[in-house]
Parts: sequence; structure tokens; C-alpha cells
Amino acid sequence: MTQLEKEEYARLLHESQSRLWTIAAAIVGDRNQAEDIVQEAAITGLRRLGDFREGTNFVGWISQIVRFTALNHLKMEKRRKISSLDVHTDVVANDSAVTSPPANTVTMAGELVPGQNEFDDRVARAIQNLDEVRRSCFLLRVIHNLDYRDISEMLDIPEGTAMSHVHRAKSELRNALASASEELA
Amino acid sequence: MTEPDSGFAELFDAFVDGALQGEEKERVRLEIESSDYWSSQLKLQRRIDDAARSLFSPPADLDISRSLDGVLDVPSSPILTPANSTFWTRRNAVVMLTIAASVAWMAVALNLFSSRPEQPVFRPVELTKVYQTCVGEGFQPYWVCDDDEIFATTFERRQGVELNLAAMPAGREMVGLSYLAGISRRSTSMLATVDGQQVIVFVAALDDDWKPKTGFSDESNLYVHRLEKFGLVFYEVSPFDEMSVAPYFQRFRESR
Repeated sequence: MTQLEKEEYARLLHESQSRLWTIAAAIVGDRNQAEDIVQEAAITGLRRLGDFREGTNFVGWISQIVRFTALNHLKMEKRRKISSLDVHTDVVANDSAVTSPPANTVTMAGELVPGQNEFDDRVARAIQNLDEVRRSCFLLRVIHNLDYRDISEMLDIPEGTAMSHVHRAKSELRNALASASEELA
Repeated sequence: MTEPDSGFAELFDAFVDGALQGEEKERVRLEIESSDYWSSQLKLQRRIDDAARSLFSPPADLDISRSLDGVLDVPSSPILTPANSTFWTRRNAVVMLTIAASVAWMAVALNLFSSRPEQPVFRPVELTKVYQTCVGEGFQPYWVCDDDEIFATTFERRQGVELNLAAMPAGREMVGLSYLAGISRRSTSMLATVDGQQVIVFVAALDDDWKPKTGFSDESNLYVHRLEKFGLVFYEVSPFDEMSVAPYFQRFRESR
């Protein structure tokens, strides 16, 4: 591998990093882990640079690596049943027992976003309840305003499927949050 | 409030998705405005989208290429080396330096002018309790890393020092890495076994050291040992009266 290729890789990675972060965050539902996952995927991508065919879509290729890295993390996380961060928080709260996070805790974060309110918490939970691919489509569309061709390339799904996921995600979220919106208006 | 026309749902979806243009868009907008149900749905969707943006927007100081620093093996001053001082190498070096300078400037500006997201409060818990919780859960590592370079990069990213493990005597084995907090939310934990007994080493920056109780705990029958090196602090929790694993941490580059 030449130096030029590595530098080009770093540049392309830099250009796409925020979208890759969103895919990781969407899959694991955890802001804190998203950056670590993309960094791990970046290193994996660098090691597998020989597999990347020039002229093909770089973002699509690296997105798949991020996606599989995130799914691998998720699998290990599920094996642990509850994340270590939550364990720690719960140990603090209960001084012994390990329980589920409190209902008003945004489990996606471990990091509280300033100004976050109860409606936001419910939105976070409703987003968590979406199917992983649907959640990724929704966030790529809403956060990055990507068109469906880009989303389909990043997630390796047909454009029509990506659009359908976004529309259904929005509809599911509205259904899930209709009452919350009235209560917390 | 009931849904007046379920057949309108697809058009509504297309409208909120920004997929409609011209006359059709205007027609649907008017129809939404004339319906309490669809107006409230539109308002709700905008509220949801705003919340999603605030919850899931990437951090402003995101810099993934940082993780490649140790892996790229970039020569320290490539453009000054006659052997590789081609136009393209120079151009790319300049581009990379410009990007690096911009990122550094942005990072400084962000620190000076904008408030970073609040860090959650860290409340110390005795390390023996963290150990017991981890063992009670099956002593499963979060991540099994068998690549020295990635292992080192992980510590570099989290603690600022590239670390790896020197070869340990028979009977001592690393199980994997975990994020058990313990010293701070940023600390990294390594799970290991020594003669079949579970051992956890918590690694953190010295600045994060809240000085957990060391020595023997009657309550848990565990020992907590403390070690400082490389500007870091290592706490080892185990049933052993002396450290078994922490001393084997070494600086990655020096070990090669």
C-alpha cells in the first residue's frame, strides 16, 4: 500500500465521519460508543484497504465495515445483558443490585444532552424501539438530510426500501409519541 | 381526534419527507392546514425530528482520523525527504497539514466559545464492589482484543498512552477489555485470570485518581493494589496479596 493511498483513505474517512458516526449510534443506540466503534472500524478499514476496489463507492464500503463493527459490539453488549456503564450507574444508585436503568434515563447516552427534556427522553426510547435498519435510515435522513441513493449505498439496501423505512419510521414514531406530545406539550 | 382520510397518509409522508414539488406540494400543504388531525401530525413530526437532531447529532469535535495516527506510519516530515518529494506527496502533505491545522483551530475555538455537552456526574464506588458486580455477571469482557496494535491504540485513545502487555508467566491470561468505569468514566478495565482466579486492572489518568481504598477488604476478601507509571494509575483488584498483572503493562512503542 502506498503512502498516497493511506492519506487518501484518511481524507475520505474525514469527509464521511459524521455519517459513519450516525450509523454506529443508530445501531448501538449509544452516543458514547459510536465514536469508539467508528474508530475501530477505521482501523479495520485501513487494514483491509486492499479489498477496496478503486472506482467503487468508498462511503458504501466503509459504512458496511462500521455497520458490522457496530453489530458485533451490540452482540457482545447483549451477551453482557446490560452495559457496564449502566452497571456502574446502577451500583451507584442502589449500592448493590444491578437493575434496569430508571425509566427517565436516556440509555443511548450515559451522557445527558443539555436542555434535554422528558419528551426528548421519550423520543429517544421510541427511536430505540425501531428496527435497526429503519432507525439508521431515519437518522441518516433526518440528521444528515441524505438522499435515498446515498442511504441505500451506505446501508446496502434498495432506494425504495430506504424510503419506505423512513416513512414507516416517522409514522411509527408519531403513533408512539402522540400521547406524550399531548401530555408534555 | 380521528384520522379523516387514511388514503392521504402516503401524500402526508411524502410532504413531511420533502419529496413533493410545485403544485402538488401546495395542494397537500393546504389540505394539511385544513385538517386538525394532519396539522397536529405535522407539528408532532417536526417536534420528533427536532428531538432526534438534538439527541443524535454527531459531536462537533469528532475526529476519527485521530485513531489512525499510530497506524498510518506517516514519516515525521515526508515532504523534506528527497526520496519522496514528488509533487503529489507535497500536495497531499500540504492538504493534510491544512486539514490538521483547521481541525486544531476548530477544536480550540469550540473549547473557547462553545459549551461542550455536560459530562455526567461520576460518583466513586469501591473497586471491590465493581469487581463483585463484574464477577457476578459472569466476568465477561466487553471486547476481546488479540491485536497488540489495536490494544495499544485503545489505551492511547482513552488514556493518552499506548499500552500493551508484556508476556506473562504461565497461568496468567488476559480475558479482555471492559469499560467498568471504577476510577472515572474514561478509565479502561482489563479482565484477566491468574491461576484460575479473576483479576481486574483499572487504568486511568493520574488526574482522574480519586484514591480508592487500597489493601485488604474483610467484607469482600479482596485486595486492592495501586501502581503509578507512565503518568497513569493502575488499580488491581484480586484475591491475591500482591499484584499479578498490572506490572506487565508496558509502553507499546518501547516494547517493540
